[in-house]
Amino acid sequence: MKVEIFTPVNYYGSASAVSDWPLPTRLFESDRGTLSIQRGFEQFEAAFEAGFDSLNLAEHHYSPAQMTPAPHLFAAALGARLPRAQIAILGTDLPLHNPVNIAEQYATLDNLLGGRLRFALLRGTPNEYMTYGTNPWESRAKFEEAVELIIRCFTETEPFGWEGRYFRFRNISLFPSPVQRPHPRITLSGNSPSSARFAGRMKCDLAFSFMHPEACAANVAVYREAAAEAGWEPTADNILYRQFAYVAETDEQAAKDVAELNWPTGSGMFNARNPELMQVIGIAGAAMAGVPKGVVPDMSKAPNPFGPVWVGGPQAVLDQIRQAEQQIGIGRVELIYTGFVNAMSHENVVRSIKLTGEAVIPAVHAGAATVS
Amino acid sequence: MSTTTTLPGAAQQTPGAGFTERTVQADGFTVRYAESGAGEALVVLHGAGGLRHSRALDLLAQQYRVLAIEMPGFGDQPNETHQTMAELAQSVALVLDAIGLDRFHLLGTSFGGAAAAYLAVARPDRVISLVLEGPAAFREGSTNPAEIPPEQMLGRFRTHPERVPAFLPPDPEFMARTWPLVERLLGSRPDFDKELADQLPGLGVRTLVLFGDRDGIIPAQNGRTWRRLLPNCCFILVHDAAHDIQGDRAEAFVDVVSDWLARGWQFLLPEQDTLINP
Repeated sequence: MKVEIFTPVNYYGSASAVSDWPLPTRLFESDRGTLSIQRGFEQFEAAFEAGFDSLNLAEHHYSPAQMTPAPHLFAAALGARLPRAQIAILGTDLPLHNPVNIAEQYATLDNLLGGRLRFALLRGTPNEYMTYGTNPWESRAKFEEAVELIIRCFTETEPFGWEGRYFRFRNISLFPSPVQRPHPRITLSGNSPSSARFAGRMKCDLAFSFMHPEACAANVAVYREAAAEAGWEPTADNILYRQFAYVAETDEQAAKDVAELNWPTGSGMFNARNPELMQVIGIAGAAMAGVPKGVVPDMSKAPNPFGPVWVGGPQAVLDQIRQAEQQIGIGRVELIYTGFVNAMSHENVVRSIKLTGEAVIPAVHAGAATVS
Repeated sequence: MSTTTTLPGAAQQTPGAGFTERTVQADGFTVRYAESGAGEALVVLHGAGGLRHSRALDLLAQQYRVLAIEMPGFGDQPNETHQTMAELAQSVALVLDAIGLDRFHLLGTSFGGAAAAYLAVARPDRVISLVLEGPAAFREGSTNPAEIPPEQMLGRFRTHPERVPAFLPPDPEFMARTWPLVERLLGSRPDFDKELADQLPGLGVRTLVLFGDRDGIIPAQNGRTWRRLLPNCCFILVHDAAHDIQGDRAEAFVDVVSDWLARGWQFLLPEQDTLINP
């Protein structure tokens, strides 16, 4: 099984203590921005040296949770600093973007990284529909068309047009193409049965973020069924599970460290302080899930998105990883150490990454049940 | 030339209700055609299933003089004359002469797309622009329709069988009459028409090639061949449509085709105003 790291590239500064979305630009301090980028690189370098199999980024906007509204930029810089590292962007917030341009960016990035790239295409978090003003009620239909269009951009060999339901392009001819032909491995979300079914149909990898492993297992079955209908069979390597992880020398030390700054949520991520704005975030989330326009969502019915986090000494975390592996059938586990905003110190994160590399990763790679 | 009107009481929403049936004599055949609309002529050549009406043709008839030709051998009169698609196309050209058309746009579907391509090659100066809908001349990767299980057939033609008009497979009597002709001109030929391919680089007529991205009869990737060989060709995938693009996505079909007919390559430049407010 592969062990991957997801680093949001948190902003380390006083602004991170403010829990509000969007966060005012006024609160950004340039020297802290530079420091945050530097720390992001340090965390990734520590992970590479610790033996993590892939260094992963994501995309979010208007928040100190991530310095990566444009993750391709950081990925390109990271790939140049670490010329042997595998890199993944999990993933693009596709409803915000021109699908053809996203295809071009990934093609370019794959050339910059010499093929050391995977990426995911996702529908984004509810607040992101208010980033550029994107219709959340069209979210699924428009997203699925965008995914199909992106794959066509990579697989069509002659200039072509796309007369879609939501997208119209009459003159597409990707150049460069990715170096991985026809394209890098593409990951789609498995967090709902319909998205898992779509992933199976599209012959893509499947990723779960934070959900309870039991719920994930149910969607894996849907994925496999859809894959069979599409004429292929996924292996464990096609399936990834993302979870918060924190490893310390002992279980007691780990519990103490995470309590300090309220890890993993810290000062919260995409919560608006303005309750009226917060309500609209709820409406966007419901719209993404298929609740029709005009229907006020019953927020008590919103599914709890998170499964238990993985905190402890190396053996405890290894046990959790193995359990998820058995429950879901994953071949890739992706760990996020920093938590959300202001949830863990950089020093603790780096120490935890190193300890994972010493004690946990060798056991995972060896298929062992006990740490080295 | 004789004229027959449509049946009285035909509902306006029935596809083809606004079309008038006529016949013309040409090349030893009595040829039926359906005509509607005014303006520049748009000649339409049908697929192997014969002359069919559609909402798309109804909509195109609002802007063009649409002439849907029932090609020799697909009506009551048998066609044992033509041995190649080129010969059929030549005959269709004579039909258009007899109708009195000088220059025209040309739309061909599937089998009719191959015929349209041969017609354009033979009479390039007469064709204002060419539209090929799932054209059958290059069928690499396709399954012989005769080998498709019946329960799969509908889905390969239509992603949206619920849309109007319903897709009906040709009746056995029609098949018995026409299938030998289709086999002789197309089915028995290689799935890559080399004779046509050799002529396409010299065809300067501006050509729009459309394939449904779910085409289960002729794989959409065959559109690349047309784009590669023709010097003046635009290849567009119509998303969420199978082989019968007009049936699956009439509005999208009409949108892209009418824009191509009216503006050609200028249709790469959207003209719609995007100013939100002054």
